[in-house]
Amino acid sequence: MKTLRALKKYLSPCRWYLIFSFIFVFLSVALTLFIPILIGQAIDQMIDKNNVWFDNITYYLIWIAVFLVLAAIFNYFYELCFSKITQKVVKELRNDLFIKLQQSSIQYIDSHPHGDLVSREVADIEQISTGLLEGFKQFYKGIVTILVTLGLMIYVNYILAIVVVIITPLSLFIATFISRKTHHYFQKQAKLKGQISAYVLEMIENQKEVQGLCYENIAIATFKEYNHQLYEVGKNAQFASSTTNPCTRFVNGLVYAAVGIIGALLMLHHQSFIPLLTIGGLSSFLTYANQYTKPFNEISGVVTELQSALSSLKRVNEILELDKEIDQGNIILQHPIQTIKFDHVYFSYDENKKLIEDFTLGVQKGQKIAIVGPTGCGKTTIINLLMRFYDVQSGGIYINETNINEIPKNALRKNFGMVLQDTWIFKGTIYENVAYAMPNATKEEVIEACKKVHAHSFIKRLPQGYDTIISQNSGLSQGEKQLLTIARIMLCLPEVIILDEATSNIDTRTEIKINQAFDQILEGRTSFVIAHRLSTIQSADKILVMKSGKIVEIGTHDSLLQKNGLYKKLYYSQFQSSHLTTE
Amino acid sequence: MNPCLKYLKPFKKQLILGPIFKLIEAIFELIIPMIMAFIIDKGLISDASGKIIGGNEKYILTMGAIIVGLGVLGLCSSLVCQFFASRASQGYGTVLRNELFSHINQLSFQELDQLGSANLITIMTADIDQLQTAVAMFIRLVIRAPFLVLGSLVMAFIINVKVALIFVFIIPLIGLILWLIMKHSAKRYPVVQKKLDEISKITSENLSGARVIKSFVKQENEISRFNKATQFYHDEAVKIAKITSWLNPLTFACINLAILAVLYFGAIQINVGSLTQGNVIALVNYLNQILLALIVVSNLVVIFTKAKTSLDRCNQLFNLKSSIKENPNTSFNFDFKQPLIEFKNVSFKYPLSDNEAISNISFTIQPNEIVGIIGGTGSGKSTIIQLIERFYEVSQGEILFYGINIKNIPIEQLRNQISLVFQKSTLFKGTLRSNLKMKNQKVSDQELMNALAFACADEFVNLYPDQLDHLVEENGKNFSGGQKQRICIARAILNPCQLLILDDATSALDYLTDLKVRQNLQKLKNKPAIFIASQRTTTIKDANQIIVIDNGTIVGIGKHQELLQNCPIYQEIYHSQQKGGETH
Repeated sequence: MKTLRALKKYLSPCRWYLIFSFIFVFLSVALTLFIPILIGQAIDQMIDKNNVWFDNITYYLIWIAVFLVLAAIFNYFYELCFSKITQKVVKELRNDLFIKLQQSSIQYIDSHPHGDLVSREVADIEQISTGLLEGFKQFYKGIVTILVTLGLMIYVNYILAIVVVIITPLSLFIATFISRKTHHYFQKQAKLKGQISAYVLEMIENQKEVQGLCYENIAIATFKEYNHQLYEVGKNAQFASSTTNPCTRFVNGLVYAAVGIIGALLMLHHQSFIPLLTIGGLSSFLTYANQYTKPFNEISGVVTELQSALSSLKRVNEILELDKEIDQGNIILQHPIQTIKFDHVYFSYDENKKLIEDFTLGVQKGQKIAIVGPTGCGKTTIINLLMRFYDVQSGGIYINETNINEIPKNALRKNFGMVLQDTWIFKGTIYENVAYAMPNATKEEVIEACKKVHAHSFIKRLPQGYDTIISQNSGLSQGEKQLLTIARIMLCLPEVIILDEATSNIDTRTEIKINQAFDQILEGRTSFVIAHRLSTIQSADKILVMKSGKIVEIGTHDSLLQKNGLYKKLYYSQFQSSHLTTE
Repeated sequence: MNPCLKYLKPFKKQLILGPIFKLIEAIFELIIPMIMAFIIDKGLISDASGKIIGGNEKYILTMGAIIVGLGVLGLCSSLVCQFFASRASQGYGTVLRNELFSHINQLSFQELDQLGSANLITIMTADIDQLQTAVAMFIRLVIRAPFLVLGSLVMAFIINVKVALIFVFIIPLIGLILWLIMKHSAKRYPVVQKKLDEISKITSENLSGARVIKSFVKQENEISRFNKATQFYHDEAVKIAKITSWLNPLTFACINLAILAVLYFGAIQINVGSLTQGNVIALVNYLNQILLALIVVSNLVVIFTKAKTSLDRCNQLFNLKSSIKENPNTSFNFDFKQPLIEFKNVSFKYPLSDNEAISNISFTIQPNEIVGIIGGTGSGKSTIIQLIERFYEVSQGEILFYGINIKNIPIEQLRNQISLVFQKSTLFKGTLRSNLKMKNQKVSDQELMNALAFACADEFVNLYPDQLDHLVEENGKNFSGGQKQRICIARAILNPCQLLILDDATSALDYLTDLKVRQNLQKLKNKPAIFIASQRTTTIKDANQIIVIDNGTIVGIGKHQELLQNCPIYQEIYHSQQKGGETH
């Protein structure tokens, strides 16, 4: 119920649609259900040979026609209203979820599998739309149908009504009984299905590995084993669930028979306290008996859909209830940035694993700071803290003596231009990709930026030049994609540049080209450069050598080489080959 | 050829008996309104004004008992049918999954690349589920629903031919409405699906680019881009709703118009004495039954159209034969005087590509020697390696293994001689032990530990309290890239092979560890030849020969010093990595 309350917010803007759909469904159901009474009354006018009252019949038939046309029209509007509600809710839900993802911290995005987040945005909301909203539609109509039918049945003959009311819930009872008894099969089946898909995924995605290891036969045998288990569970699950339908239909048959027999007997042994039943009345009652049981079956039919929709809603809610990224700053940063200072900073991603400890560093305008060290030593973490993707746990980072926690995040980040190891290209033209930070840049400006970073020549060779549509996997090489992201920075030229392993995925000959591009944007700017190829950072004003979250050495290339420490070891290991001993 | 349907054969019994039992139930269902008509017409006697004046209680009860009895029989036969349906559909799905999985494992990458793994996984899961549903629905409904429609029609004719003509008119009309609505909405579903894909694409783009978007402060931009996509989706979905919302009202109106007609003409027939009141009630009942059955038929059409697409995709996969064929008839003797591997003018083009990935490649690898291959990303190093493993078939030229064309060597025998580690080599769900034993199952724990030590992986494995029983998650995602590479190297050297191929397999290791691993590899007891692909000159500097490859062609072969003198590209690569290094 608590989960459902989240939907209220999305349903209330559709208030009028809801009210109207309620009116429409009521009218449509009432009219629809009144038709059998009219049919019954018409049948009562055709008793025997030469005993048929055509005038009366015509009168009833005209009413039936009017009723059925109105019922159909109201029904159409009901369906349409509800689809509108559904789609509106789905749209708003998706938008809000997306906004939440935009506002959530990098920490949240880093710590959740992206596939899972995407499937909440797409598949889960789809499930809510089909399961919950469509289910609600059925439910809504079902309840109205049950109530109106009940009223009409009592109006026609209360004794038969009691018979129907007593027997019908039996089908609901049987349905819940079966689903409770078979629930564990479904759980097992879902689990096995998940296992099988995971296995298939792993084996197919790594098929080269599998074939190289001559592992195919073992993989097939393992798969068959899983598959056999799925069969054993699956056949039981499917059989058990497929018994619901025949059983409820059997109950409906019982209702039908009971109404027929008891109705006939009532007519035969008519007592004064029992309302008079005619043959036409019995006929309409037989129709009602069917109508009345139908919603019960439909509702029990959507129960499973409803359950999975509810669990989807829960997953969506988890994101909707996320807190916004903390962003309380309101100090306006003074330009230009003269100093950046890390003051006794402590930080770790995981409470049990210390990372950055007592990190202190001062940077002056125009300095090039290089950070080196083994994987996992905290190089990128420093950048994460500076950009406030994560917040320091103690100590502080100051820009022009202002604690960055007091600057609005967006205002802070605007001062930095980042080039990361994993290039980010979105689906769009080259022009759009480069102009990402400055959407109103002219084409000339974009071309100018691309020329400066030496990307112009390869772009020119593309089939549509700057209008070629590209995406993450569209055939551009790593190096080419990286040049585009550098051009992106070139165009807006923020005050501070951050290069985080920007050439790690690129071969060394291409790297030289990219380094030339970097020279263009680094010129006269404050910069932070993280690299594992030490050749690229020798010109830095300060080189920080980090190990397990701490600065172990600091200095220029030359002074560090003289120190005979970790830097020297890292540096020379690059040129070492197997002759040389390492220790 | 329809390979998928072939696998239905074991379920012939269920496929025939299931629908028959369902048919029995449907027959009972049809008889019941008839019996009800008997109760009203024969069990009850009314006077001229329609008032009941008498009847036969025993007859009513007997008929009632018959209705209940038929209901019980119907329930039983329908349960039998459901039983058959669940066996057959689950069984069929299981057989199909097994066969397809085995089939995929026999395909070469020439085919697999074209299909793409996402596609294969959809086939293995969603498509087979779809076919499974279709089999179940076939058994349960394919006979029943049309039978109910036709049966109702026949019953109507039995009752009264003239009134039954209304049925003949109304059934095709409803069919036409269902068909039109489905046709128009089906056209639009792919459009909606496309819009949904767009939504999913923007979401994942935003997740992977979260840092970039935040650093450029473009959140508002992305939100409005997303809002546009959801608006498109909304509009398309509402368009479909406008069509499909007609389904219920129109079919409902048709059936009730038919009822109107039945009442009118029925009244005329009663008046002339050729029809009874009970008959009219039965006719009304049959019309309602037809409506229900027709809706089931329209659902069936949807299920079977979807299943047809799935069936086509599965068949397409089954009909795909591996382009790499074993040559079982050739007998051969390895000539150990020949080089271990020899490339003779080998060219290769990837199936969907226009350009040759490598052209006219010739080189040899002698037993026990170390050969390095160097070149930029996309230069063709990995292609050469994959051709040695026969993942692809050469387009021109030939590859010889001890003088025998590898096409004539059984694939498993060839691959057992070669151990291969990729840059992105991965681990599989299981334990460290199960991973290490993948290629060679007959090794002791001590040998496993030795291999780990060789690959410098012991330093972190020893930290695990459960050592070799340490759990490995899917794709080894609980290990870092460097850890994975070291374990994969250990796995490779556990197989006593002739040739060890390292395809940039130490890229995630720091220089020191990389060096140590390479030194250890030279101490392997079985002394395999080692073929190392790398981008770092340091990694291959001491190889017996170095192959320099650029844009798919060999631009130099020789020792480090020779290449430094006569191969400009090698010089370039070397200097790009030495910049500054030589000044000291």
